[in-house]
Amino acid sequence: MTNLKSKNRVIVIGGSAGSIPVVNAILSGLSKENKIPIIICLHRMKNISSGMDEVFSSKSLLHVIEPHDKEEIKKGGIYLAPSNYHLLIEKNNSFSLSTEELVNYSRPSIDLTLESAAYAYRNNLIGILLTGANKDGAKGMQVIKKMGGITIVQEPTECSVPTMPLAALSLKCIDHKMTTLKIIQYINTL
Amino acid sequence: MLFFKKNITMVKFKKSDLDYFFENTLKKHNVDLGNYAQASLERRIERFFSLYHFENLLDLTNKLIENNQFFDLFIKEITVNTTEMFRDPLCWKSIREEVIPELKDLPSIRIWHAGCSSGEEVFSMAILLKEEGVLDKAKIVASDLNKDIIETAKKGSYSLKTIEINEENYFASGGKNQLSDYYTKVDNTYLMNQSLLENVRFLKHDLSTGGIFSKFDIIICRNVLIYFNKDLQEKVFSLYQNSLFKKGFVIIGKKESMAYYSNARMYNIVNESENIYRLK
Repeated sequence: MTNLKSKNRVIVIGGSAGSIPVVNAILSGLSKENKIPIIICLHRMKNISSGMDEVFSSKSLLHVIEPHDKEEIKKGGIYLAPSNYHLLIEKNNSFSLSTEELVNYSRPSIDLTLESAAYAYRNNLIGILLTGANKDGAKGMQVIKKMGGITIVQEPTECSVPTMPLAALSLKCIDHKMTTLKIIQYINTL
Repeated sequence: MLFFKKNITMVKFKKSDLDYFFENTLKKHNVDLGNYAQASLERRIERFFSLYHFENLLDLTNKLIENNQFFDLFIKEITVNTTEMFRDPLCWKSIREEVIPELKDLPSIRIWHAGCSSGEEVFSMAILLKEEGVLDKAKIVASDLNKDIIETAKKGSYSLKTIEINEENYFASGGKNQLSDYYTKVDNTYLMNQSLLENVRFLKHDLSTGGIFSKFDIIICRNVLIYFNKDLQEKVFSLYQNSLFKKGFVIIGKKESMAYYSNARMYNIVNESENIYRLK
């Protein structure tokens, strides 16, 4: 699919309504040898500030981290945008947080994470947009495509709410539609 | 100058235009935007472009050089001023239960709100101090780099839309009365009791270039450092350390971290999850 060197690759995943089981399935299906950092931005309930990372960790046996501001992005690290902050990726391979206004009625906004990741990692970035009930993430996927990255949406027929993947597809910026199973297989071949 | 060595690049702007922008905003206005966290700064500048119909950074920079008022507007728009009263209530609970008791017997309690924005946390602190019976002996400085936002803070008039979350936060933080004891409703706003500000002095101070101006027992600066890069965070942490009395407290945002500060070992952790530190 691509001849990029896998050592520089980064995966960024966005999701909203119905996406938690999908993310869980993906993380549980990851090869133990996975060294690619995975950055996850999900719409979350405000003021539920902890717990989500533990939910992921217990099922996937992988340690999901809610990064602190300026935390370095490490090989094999799995990061979840903290509730009520936007999660941005800096060009020096670290995170910055922001409390600026809601974007697409959301904080964290998937567009913001995807877009900043696209600028930081360009053609080394793989963006995956999952089930969700709004349009957040579509523009971010467009930027990933523009910067040379790879764009994947969850197969809309498999989504509990397909609005989000469909919004991205309508911008004609998506390389692949994949089921959850295909996404897992794809990641494990990288 | 420092920022030339940093080799700052942004996707949307030419390197030479960026250098010109950072150099001149620093020279003319003494604000070191070159040390802001780039991803969000780039976004905020872009947002300013679309709000005020600019198409290139050179034009914008030239207008910022020649027009002070326009620069104030620019700063107001690119800085983030979303805040709440008693935001992260558990932090305020910890201030009430773990910080204030340590300072109660001092003849005065000196507090610096660094980056006070529209003042919600200044009022939160004043209410907390009043309920703990120490507001009278508090000496509070609230600073921000944006003078318009300081005027907003002084007025203490907030949209009724925010009242619900603020009241929830107040209770969750261990508030002893009703938040409504501290404000009066006026049309679509609520006006905070001005008596809460009796011991508050507002000050225009920019953390990116400003120096030490006094000593404090508490420095509270939540969700401000996230907009700075690591170099500037180091500088500001150092400013805080020099501005603290021995055994003084520093309180930063929930997802901020002192871990990268070279003198972090000079502090004890008072509350790890709420990021409250105490100088040894």
